[in-house]
Amino acid sequence: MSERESLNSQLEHLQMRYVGTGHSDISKYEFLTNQHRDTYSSYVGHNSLLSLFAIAENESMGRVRFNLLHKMIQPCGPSPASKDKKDVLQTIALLLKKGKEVIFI
Amino acid sequence: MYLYNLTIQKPTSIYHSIVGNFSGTKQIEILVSHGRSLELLRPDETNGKITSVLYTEVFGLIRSIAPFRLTSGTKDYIIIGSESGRVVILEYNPNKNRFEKVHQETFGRTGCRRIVPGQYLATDPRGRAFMIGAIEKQKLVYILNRDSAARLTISSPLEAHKSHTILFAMCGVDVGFENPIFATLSVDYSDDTDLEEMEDNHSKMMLTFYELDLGLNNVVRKWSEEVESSSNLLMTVPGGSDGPGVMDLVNEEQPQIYALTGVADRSAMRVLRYGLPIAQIAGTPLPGIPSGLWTIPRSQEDSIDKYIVVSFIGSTLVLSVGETVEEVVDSGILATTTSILVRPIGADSIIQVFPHGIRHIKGDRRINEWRAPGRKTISLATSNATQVVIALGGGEVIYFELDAAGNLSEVAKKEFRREISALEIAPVRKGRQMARFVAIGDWEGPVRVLSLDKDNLLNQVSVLDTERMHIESLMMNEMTIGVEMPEGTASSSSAIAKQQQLQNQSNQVLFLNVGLKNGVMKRAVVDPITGELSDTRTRLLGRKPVKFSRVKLKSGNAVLALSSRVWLCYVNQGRYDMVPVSVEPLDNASGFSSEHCPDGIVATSENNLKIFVIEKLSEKFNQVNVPYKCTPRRFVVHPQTHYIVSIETEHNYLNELPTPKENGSNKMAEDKDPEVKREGDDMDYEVDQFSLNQNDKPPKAGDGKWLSYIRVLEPVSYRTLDLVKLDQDEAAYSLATCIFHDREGEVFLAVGCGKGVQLNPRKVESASIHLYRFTNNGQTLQLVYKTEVEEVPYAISHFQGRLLVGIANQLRIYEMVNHISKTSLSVGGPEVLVYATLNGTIGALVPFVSREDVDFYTSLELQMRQENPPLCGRDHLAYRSYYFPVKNVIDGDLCEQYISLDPTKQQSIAEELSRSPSEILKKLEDLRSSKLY
Repeated sequence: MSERESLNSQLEHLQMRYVGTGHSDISKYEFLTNQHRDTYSSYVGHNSLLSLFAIAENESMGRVRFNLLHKMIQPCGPSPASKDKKDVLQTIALLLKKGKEVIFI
Repeated sequence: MYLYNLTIQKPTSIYHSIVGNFSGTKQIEILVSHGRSLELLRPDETNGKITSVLYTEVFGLIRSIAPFRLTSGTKDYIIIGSESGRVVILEYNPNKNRFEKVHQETFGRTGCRRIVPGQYLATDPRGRAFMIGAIEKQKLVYILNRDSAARLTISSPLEAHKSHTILFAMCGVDVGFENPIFATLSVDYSDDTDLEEMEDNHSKMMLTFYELDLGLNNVVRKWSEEVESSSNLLMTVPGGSDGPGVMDLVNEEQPQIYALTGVADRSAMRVLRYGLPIAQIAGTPLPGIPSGLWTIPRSQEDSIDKYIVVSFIGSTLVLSVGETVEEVVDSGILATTTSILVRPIGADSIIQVFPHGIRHIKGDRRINEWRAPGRKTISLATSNATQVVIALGGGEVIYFELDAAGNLSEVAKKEFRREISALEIAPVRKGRQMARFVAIGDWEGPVRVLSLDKDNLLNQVSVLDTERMHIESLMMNEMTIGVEMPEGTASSSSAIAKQQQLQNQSNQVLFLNVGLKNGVMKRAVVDPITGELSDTRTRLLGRKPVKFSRVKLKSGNAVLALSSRVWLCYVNQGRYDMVPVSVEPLDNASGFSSEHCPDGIVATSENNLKIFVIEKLSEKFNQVNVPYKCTPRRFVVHPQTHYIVSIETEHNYLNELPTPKENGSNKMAEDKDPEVKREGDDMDYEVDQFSLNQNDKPPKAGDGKWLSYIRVLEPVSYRTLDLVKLDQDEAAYSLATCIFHDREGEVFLAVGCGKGVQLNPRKVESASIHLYRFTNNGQTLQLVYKTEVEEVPYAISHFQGRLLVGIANQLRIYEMVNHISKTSLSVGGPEVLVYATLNGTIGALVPFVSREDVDFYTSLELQMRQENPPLCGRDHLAYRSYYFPVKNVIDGDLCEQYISLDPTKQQSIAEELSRSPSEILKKLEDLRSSKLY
């Protein structure tokens, strides 16, 4: 195995192991999602930050924690790729509804 | 500049709590985490009070705690998940009163990270294994067992990872002695979730069970099912007698943590005073100003008091204690004279010392009297259970003993040729007949300790210098200091001797307390064999001469020191502590116990007699609570009237509460009408308000809904003078008092408000500055005008006759509660920086004055870091430097842990610093007492 390949496989291994590790070809969406998730998990981990939010929002700490964890699922909305896919499907459905012919290549 | 950081008030907010038998007895104990410290609490079942047994700083962030107990064990261990990347198992050692680290396993990097476990902890109810989880992906399972010596062992971790999952909750399932099962609540966010879900924008909440196969030593995902997406808390529900538990899921909308953090104090202004809070039980006026006060128990064994004796000039009043306190005449105590000392002696008799003699009242009411020789009068007297020492005018000291027949007989006499000002005999040690020492002081010092041994009667054995100051009073008392030494194996004979010496020291210690006329108290340790004095400490108590009195507390003997303030010297968590009591200055005091209050104090102040108890010994701050309607944000003090003006703002709240159909409608009406609050009976109303908040919480109004008040509070009686309600959705953010240069010194109040503010994302409808004028002697507020501004003013300040307002985003938002100010805390002490945090901690930063001190504390801190690594496995320096590298600040909390180290460790650190342990202890205590309290 060449040196370059082994480096690549090592990097891949690291990325598998440590969620959130970036790489040179990271997309903006991926980067921001990771960053948001890191931030939210830090909020949840620091009790004092959590209570600060709870006071500011006049909510219980449990509720604030739950909301933050929920936000971690999709902090920046659905990924652009899946959104594109959805758009295409929607367009096809619309065209079919209008009785137009759709040719798949 | 070098600073010394010290916590004055420990954090009050509680983030986690667990119940268990941590000391291994049947007693149920509660362990709470304050986020960065652990506190062990013990509820008293008889009186419903909770006492704090141990409080430790861990210098780390506690994120989860769990108790567990090995099969057939009687003691609970504690597991802590923190941000140290380690899991720690602690054991409470009741003998040493300390937490001991049993195991520490490292598994990841430090910090609150997404994939480093520590956020969640779950234990198998049978104590065979525990699971520790991160917010995302990682979960580790450790197997717990016992080795041949019955010590706890821990296995290497087993992984139960699942990527792309966010964990919401975790718990252990009771499966009896089947393989342990853990349940988790999680959401999968991997990208291949189907499009339907994307549309709904919420993913499936999955309840997953993990089974630990003890035979194969691996963890497998057993099964998984979908549950309601708002599920957020898992807890086990016990079921069956000993069989498999019934597992259930609780869709709690308001998790318990809410109640535990204490929501009640959120809307209150707390006035903190340093001092132990008291509760007065009874009080009565006396016919004159008393000169002495004593309590007489029923008998030597029975601690319940029979009489309270009050002496006046020329007369003595005897009060009997029963259902009521009444005057009695048949006690045998001579009522027509001033008493110098009245106290029980021997098995059942009482002695009364008065200027012309001693009256010995026996149990069967026979009276023996000893007359003072010639025209001399007795000026002072002291006694313990078997011995009496009196001083006559002119400096003659006479010593009496109770002989075998129970009669008082003169043993020795000595002429000092100097007027004696204070006299005190040591208490009789347990297992002995007589005490061996008496201390005397004269008008210009020093204090002498005299021997009472047969072969060395009334000869001087040691001396305590008082710088020629008039000695007002003396007190000798025994206290149980520290805890017993562990059985250690010492390498050399000198080490054994040293250890034994330390062991003696750490049990019953005889203290000599000296009260001086200038309000200074000196304390020294008396050697029980030679009478040598050592370890002298000095402390200023107040402006008046210091007097002492013995009192009894639950934790043992204590001394009340009376000066212009009242101080209590007692043993708190194995440490000698001295704390002021929040009570008016007292003239005389004595311990008092009746059926109703076993550890009360009876005291006189001018011509009033009162009985009180000290409620919470661990609570060093006396708090006055002024309940508020909403979350208080800021306050200012009016520069002329000293009234406190504060703003309260509540998000997510409707200004006009919808009137509920039936119960509590009148409460609501009151709530809407601030007038009631101002004039009505505060207490009743507040109770209502409290229950209102607790039970029928009004519905959440939603984002951007606000309720605000401006309150004028009188700081002496804590009366609310005026309460101004702002319009719906107007939120008060900042306030300041201002004197405009063209308005001739009139004080105005400026309040910065935002209307319809949304927190996230940031949005504001409009913002304005309200200007109020103080009317009616500063008691009420009158709106002058509102100035519209474009953004919410977060900071307002008075600046050279104008108002300085920070509106744009250059000025940062200051934290709402956190506060820092420069002040001096003790009389004549230097200025220190005092800060308060959201957790309820109050701390202080003390500047060092000398380079020598800086070097000493720096090396002490260094030693402490090495010798006493933080409990939860976090590196101390890394913890303190988490946000910003620590520079020129010494952690006093760490240094003070030196006091609670075991003596051998203290010794080794002291040797490193080439000082003695007592020197270091003295230095630590002096710093706290001279610079702070």
